[in-house]
Amino acid sequence: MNRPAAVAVRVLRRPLVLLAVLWLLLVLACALHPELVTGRDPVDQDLPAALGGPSAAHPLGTDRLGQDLLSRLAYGAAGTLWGVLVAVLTATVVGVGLGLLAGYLGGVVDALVGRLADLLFSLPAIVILLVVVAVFPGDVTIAMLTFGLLLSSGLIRVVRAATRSTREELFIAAARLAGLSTPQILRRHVLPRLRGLVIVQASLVAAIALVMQASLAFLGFGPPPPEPSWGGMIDEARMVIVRHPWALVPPGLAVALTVLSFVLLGDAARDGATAAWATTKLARRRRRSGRRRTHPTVPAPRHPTGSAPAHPVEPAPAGGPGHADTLLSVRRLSVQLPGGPARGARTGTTVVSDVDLDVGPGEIVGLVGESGCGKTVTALSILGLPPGDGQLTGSCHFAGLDLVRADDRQWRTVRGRRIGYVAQDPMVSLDPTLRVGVQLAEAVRRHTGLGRRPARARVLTLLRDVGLPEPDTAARRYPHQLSGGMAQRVAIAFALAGDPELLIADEPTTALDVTRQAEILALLARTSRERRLAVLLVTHDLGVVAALCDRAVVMYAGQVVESCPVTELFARPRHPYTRGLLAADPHRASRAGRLPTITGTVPAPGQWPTGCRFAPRCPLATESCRHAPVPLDRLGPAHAVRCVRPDEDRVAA
Amino acid sequence: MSGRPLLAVHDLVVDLGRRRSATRVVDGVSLTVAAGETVGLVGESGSGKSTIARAVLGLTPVTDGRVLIDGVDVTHAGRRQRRALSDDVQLVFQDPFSSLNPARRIGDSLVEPLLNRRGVDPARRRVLVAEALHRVGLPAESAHRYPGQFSGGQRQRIALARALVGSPRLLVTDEPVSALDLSVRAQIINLLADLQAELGFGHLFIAHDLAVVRHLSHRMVVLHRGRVVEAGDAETVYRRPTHPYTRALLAAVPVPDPVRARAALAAFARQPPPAGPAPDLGVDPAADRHPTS
Repeated sequence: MNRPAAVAVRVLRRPLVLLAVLWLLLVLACALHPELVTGRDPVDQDLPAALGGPSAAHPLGTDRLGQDLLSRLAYGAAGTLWGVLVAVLTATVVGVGLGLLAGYLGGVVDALVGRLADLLFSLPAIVILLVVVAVFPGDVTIAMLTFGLLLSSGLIRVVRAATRSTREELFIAAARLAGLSTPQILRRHVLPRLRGLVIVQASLVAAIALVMQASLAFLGFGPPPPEPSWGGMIDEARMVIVRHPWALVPPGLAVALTVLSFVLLGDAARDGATAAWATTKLARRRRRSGRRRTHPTVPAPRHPTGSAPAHPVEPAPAGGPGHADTLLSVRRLSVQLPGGPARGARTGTTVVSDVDLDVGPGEIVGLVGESGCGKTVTALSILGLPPGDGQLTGSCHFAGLDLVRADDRQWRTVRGRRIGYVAQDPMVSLDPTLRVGVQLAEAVRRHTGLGRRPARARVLTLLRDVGLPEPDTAARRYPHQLSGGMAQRVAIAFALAGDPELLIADEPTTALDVTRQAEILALLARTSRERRLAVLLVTHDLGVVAALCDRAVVMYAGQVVESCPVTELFARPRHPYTRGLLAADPHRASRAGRLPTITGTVPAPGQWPTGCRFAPRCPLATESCRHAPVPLDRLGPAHAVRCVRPDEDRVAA
Repeated sequence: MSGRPLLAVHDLVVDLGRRRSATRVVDGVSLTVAAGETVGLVGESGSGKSTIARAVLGLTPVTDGRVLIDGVDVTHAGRRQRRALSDDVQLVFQDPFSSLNPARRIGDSLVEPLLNRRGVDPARRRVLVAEALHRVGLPAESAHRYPGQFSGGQRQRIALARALVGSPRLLVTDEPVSALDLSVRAQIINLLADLQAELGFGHLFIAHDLAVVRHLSHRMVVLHRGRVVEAGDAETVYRRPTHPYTRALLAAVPVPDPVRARAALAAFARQPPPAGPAPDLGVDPAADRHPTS
């Protein structure tokens, strides 16, 4: 595979970067063969034309002595680039080398290198350089070597920090266990991770070195006068700045453009070098689609034209006939992530399609499925927070509102007050810098309008309700001082702060140990019963569903495939996917031995089959399954299944 | 079991942290794994099960006790000896995402256990990598792709291929299926069993899920706060746990059966709430059985 070429193509596709590369190539060409750019000798004095502007004879004008500015620029490029090269090489070799050693080895080496970096950092660069050029007058190489060394302190620090964090990665441990030596690990695993960082740092060093070199020449420490140098040209121009300001333009512009080009190229090279692995395909697609923020409430077509709704038109919101006992009623909810124009004709990726879902007051409904099936996206979309700028279609009736079309003001009365949310990782919902009690009190006051003191009392009640034995102590703790189980209890207290009617819990026990999980499940069951709180529980664990839920909604590849009371789900599962999941559960298998499996994996959004989405993995699939989408059929008053052969009992072997 | 075991851990003690504030994470654990045998190490977080794995592999210094691999004491093996050991012992981590370097192609990661081996030239390495990929059910061209292009289940297959590419005699897996989805989890469990039948390695299998352990293991060792509380035939421990902690652990796992799961949850809810952050399920350390295996 021709990788460097591919990287180059990727990098050059940006117009600004292309310009930067062309400019640097021009400078390089001047450095190598200035006679190709200009026919004039840089020290040739054309006195009659002194201090002239651009003309046919002198395209960039002349200086005080009538020397051609273009020629002097071209011949000065070599010294300039050489200086930059010396500085960049010195800084990179010293910085990366010492940074790697310090970061990977740690201990004494780290301490010594750290002190050295501090020392280099604290030395006044310009004073040191002036000393050096005084000792070695006119020697650009030694000056830039010194400057590169001084600049390496920054590189040492960033490389050390990046190495330290990389060292803790599991793949480093894996490489060690594979028997690799330390140099091998550094070369194979640590250096590739640092590539982007080093490229950017090197480009910055190049830019700074160029400016510093010009400054030295400007101060009169460059090459002796007749010899051309960019800094010297600026110094020359300074002397005549009142009479002939133009003379400053060519060298100034050359320095500025070169500095800019270094930085642009550095950024682009970093992106190019890491693009192959830095992001997943999906993330890249999303990034390309740009950052336009489409508000989820943008009215969107309700139904794709041409396909008649499979369900009766939605009745009037809550209170309407037939929905008296429904708190949340989701109909034909679809979520589409924006697609990028770079990805061809596809306008976007549908990640959830036509989900129907009901939750009654006080009812616990399990939303079951594997990762990638859209259960979390569904839950977040009900809250009006679809990930990745997703667009919602369909309807979502809750308490007299269609949440799909609710505006910010309406959301303020719903989120937290009427619908609470519990995430899988409790730490994401807790601010690490505030004590638990303070955060909770804030939420209580916001949702209920209580004063400071009553809110404080309510916080303690909430903490006691979620089973924290010493609410006073717990309220004074910071989130990091809580154990996982306690933190999840606090997160539930948070969700209950506004006394909601519906709690959406996304895998609330997945990160916990089994005994902690049992406690949280017991807490959810009790809370739901005591407060008549409805719960929409997102989970992949069928055991959790069995323990807690009244009804279950099974999702596969963005669709609801089965929906029924929990007792039915376990006693008479009808969809082959549900059956397969149940059979593959080691807890269900009657004896030790081979587990029945579902072959293959869940297809990614955008790769769903046109017919039944489970057909490629289904042991019962026939040709008819693959032709057309399968509707969600009602088998009874409370049981719906998306399968054309729901009565076949043969299970995946 | 005949002859000496492949892995023998004697009275292992591991303290983590600096001298003053060190905590005893593993406290006198003994266990053995024979060739061709799977031993499940079960416990909750903080029980010390992962630390035992790290100690066996030399990723964590051992405070006291001995680790023998094929009769050779490797408790305090140096860098050089450890690198030689990598031919015999390999590890699969729980997290299939961070255990593969995202910046390196699959083939580059897979080849690593072979890099420092004598007599394996690059052509032979390629063959072995392709074989390893095939064994775990992935196409050979996966070697040219980056980890970011694979799902969690596929990555765990890749991690397994990397561990097995050098034909180790002992495989240690730390929660290899916990991060996977249900249907994929069953595939990997079966794959582990098939590979063991084919290659005959000894397998120290670490997990928190008793049902999974029972499925895959011949014997089971239950850990609680760094001590072995119960050990024995996997099926027997699962069906007739004798230690109160094992029983509590089993009772806490919600089974996919509404009647039993609800009854268990109700029983669990009747217990008094926990007193502190660490679980205390009536285990008296003095009453711990130290079974001999």
